[in-house]
Amino acid sequence: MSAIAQGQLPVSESPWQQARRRFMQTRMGPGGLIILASIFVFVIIGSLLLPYDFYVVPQPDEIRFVGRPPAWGRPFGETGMLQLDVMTLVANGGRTSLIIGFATAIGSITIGTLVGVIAGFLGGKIDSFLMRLADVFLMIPSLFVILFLARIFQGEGGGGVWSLVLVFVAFGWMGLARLVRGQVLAIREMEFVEAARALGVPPLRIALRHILPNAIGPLVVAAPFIVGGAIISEAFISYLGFGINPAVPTWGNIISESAKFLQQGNWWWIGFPGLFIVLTALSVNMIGDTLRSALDPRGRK
Amino acid sequence: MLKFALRRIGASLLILLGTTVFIYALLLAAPGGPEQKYANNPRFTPQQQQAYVKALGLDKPVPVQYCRWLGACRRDADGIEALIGPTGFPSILPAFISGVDTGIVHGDFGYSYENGNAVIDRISGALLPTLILAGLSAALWLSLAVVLGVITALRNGGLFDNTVSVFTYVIAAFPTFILGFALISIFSVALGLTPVSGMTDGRLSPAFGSDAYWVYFSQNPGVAISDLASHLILPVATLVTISVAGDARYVRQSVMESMGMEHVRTARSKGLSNLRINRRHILRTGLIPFATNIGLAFPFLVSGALITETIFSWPGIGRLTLIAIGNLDYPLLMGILSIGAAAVAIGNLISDLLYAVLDPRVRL
Repeated sequence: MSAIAQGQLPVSESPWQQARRRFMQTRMGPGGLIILASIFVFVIIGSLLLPYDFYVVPQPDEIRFVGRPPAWGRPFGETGMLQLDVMTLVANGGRTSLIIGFATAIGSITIGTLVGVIAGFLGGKIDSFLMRLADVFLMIPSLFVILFLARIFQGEGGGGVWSLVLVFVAFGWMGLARLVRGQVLAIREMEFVEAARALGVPPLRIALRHILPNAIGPLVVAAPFIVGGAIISEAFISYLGFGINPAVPTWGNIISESAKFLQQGNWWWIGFPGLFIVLTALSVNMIGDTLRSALDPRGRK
Repeated sequence: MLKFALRRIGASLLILLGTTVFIYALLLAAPGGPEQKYANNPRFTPQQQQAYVKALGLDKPVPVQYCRWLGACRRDADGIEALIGPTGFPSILPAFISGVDTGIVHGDFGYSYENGNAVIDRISGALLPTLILAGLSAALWLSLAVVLGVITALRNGGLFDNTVSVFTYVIAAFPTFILGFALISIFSVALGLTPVSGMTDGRLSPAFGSDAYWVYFSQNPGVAISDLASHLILPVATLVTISVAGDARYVRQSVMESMGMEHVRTARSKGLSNLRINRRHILRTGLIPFATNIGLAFPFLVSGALITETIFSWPGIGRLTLIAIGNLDYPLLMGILSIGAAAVAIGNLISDLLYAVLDPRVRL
């Protein structure tokens, strides 16, 4: 069948190839990719290669509330109190922060897609139950509940990366589920699905092979924003002291510690982790926005 | 229209009820309740712990506790009779009919575990600081977003538009707390222009909201107001900058979309003046989506200030929430969360109704 299609239709690029070409033609899309890739390279190389060991306290001979500002050899400066190397801290913290961001995106998208496909494909009572459930989750002031759950996990001796990811996923699936459901409802009525049904293709196969691949456009767009959102939330929750165990470096934990010394003028201690959070958020926004316009069928040439 | 409104109100109430059930279950399912507070104290005997649990009503099954919190059950009865008040009417009806005055439907939010103060007093004490901060920010935010969005859309492609676009794009990537710290570093620490945090200067005035504060305020209002204003600058700047960055782009886009609509082309072909086209045809359609956004300012008023209040030690609802979470103070948390959820519901409702009033296509 595909041979006939290939033989008779004029050769054209697939929607995904087209989207990729449109993505690469912009300035913002590749720019965002370059920034994000640089952050990755810095985090991986930095956490492996930097000569200063984060966990070893360099035995300061004097207590200094104000650390040393950036200089040659220590381009990000040195913290107050323990006098740790800020560059090493930021690189090690970035590893945790990026893991949280990407794990949250993968988890939320998996659950959201599952709920959306089930609700949209099966319809009826299951659909309305799942959508009301999403309404309730959306109505809850999620920041409060996330903080509360993080506090509970902390009380249980946790404060781990995965319990935080779990909480983020629990409050990250609703919007995606609605999005996917809407897509599935529209695609379900299309002719090629009807054709597949008429051919006797089993429902599960229709859902997986015919509907899902056509419904993932909005998910691709949403993914970068979830990564950025999770990194920012982790930073904020850790800053409040409800997040990851303070002994583990994350961008949020570094800021949480350094914020106490802000008035002493340690701007580099809080500034560099802050800059990395902002750059990560900026790059994922750039990638996400470009993806959205690249995948928008109305703009296709 | 009335039917549409009633249906939306009914749906909101149901979802609100579901939300409180969910939050209540979540709080009580969490391990480590308030009875754990003194667990490390060797003088705190198991008997005392049991008495404490009993006094707080935590020994009852969770559905009963929820029912009592809601006010559908009496506190002084058990089982099915609790649903009927002493006068023989269902407990959930207003107090003068049912004779029951406990539970939130009767306006009783319970007492804080932390210090035994009435939840409603603690919340109302924190409400004024939040309303001052968020109200001022919301007013500035909405007007700035409209002005910037409209100007950049009408002059699109110009230098001003490009500058504003790049600036808002970068600012929109800033998490609120990082922007707050950046502002503190620059304006308070480096330049020494503004106070670092708090609502009043402790060397000059009593704590905000105390009786002594209002005496002080009435004696020298000029000093008190300028002190308050100087403490407001940075938190308001933080909230407004963050929110405007997102919304100015939104306004710009919807005004641009309305510029391309057919009725605008018609107006132009009729030879109407540019000013008239802008005012009557572009802005009216272009600002509808944003007008509906005003309803979304309500949750912003209640919860969006949490981050800013924390950074600047502003004694409002956001900070109260963090205190309640830190102490696992369930009645206080339930009070704040249900009021917060109600604010979100009212905000959504207003925005839906506004949409229906402004855009008749929605009213189906």
